Amino acid sequence: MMQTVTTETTSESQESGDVDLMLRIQRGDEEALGLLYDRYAGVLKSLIMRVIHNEAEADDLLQEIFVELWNQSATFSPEKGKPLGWIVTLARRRAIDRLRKRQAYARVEEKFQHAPETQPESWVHNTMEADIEMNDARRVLQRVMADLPEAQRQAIDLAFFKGMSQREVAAHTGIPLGTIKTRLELGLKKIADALRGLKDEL
Amino acid sequence: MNSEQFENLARLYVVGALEPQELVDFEKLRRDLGDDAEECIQECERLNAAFALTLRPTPPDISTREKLLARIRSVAR
Repeated sequence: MMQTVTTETTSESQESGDVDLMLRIQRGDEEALGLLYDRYAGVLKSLIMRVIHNEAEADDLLQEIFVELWNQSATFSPEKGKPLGWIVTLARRRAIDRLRKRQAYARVEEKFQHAPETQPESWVHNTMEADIEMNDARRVLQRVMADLPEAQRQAIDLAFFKGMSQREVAAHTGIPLGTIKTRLELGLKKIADALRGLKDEL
Repeated sequence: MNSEQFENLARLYVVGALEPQELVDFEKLRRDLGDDAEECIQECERLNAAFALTLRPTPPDISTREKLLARIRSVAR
């Protein structure tokens, strides 16, 4: 069922499907957890791997995240946001926690700098992949991200996927903090503006 | 602070880029602004979903799903 991640549309109906699954999970429905896993495990694993760069550890953490999702499902409320945002936020936090816990920043940074080809494809490269059937929302987002100036994209990448604060991004890149703040603000605003056009799809 | 400035901060907040003192200040603002702030933050949290959706899915190890469901079944909620 993993192929559903790339072939299903992230439409309003799917969004409501996510909510239904979360509500079923709240009631202890194991099948619903399996369906949510089928839908998003692939993108979540990619997200985790962008942070920790270790496939076996990513699978382990993926399992932990879905267990936590199961255990914390009572705290989910459709009124407080959509399921995917909630799940991705949880996955990203746990991946960054794992990264920090093993105190391997230097090693991971080295991998990040020297092995981009081995990572799951990033937003830029995905735009060239003809073998992946992407929905409209995904295509729009990839175009927006690909069109970002490299400097803004790098700042966002370090903040989002490496869990760096603005000051850490500045130290990592050797670029003044004020410049980093501006790059992050401008880049994130462009993406947020694009998301407004996808109101019902994401 | 106007709404655009708060939105800028909220976007940095959801991607985890605020400095510790900025985070303290943001949380205070958040409390002060109440529902309007929460609505803005929810909107900004779509950024996280957007970033994830732009990644090409990586199939998990086939055993991960089975292990997950076995764990769920073995532990009472």
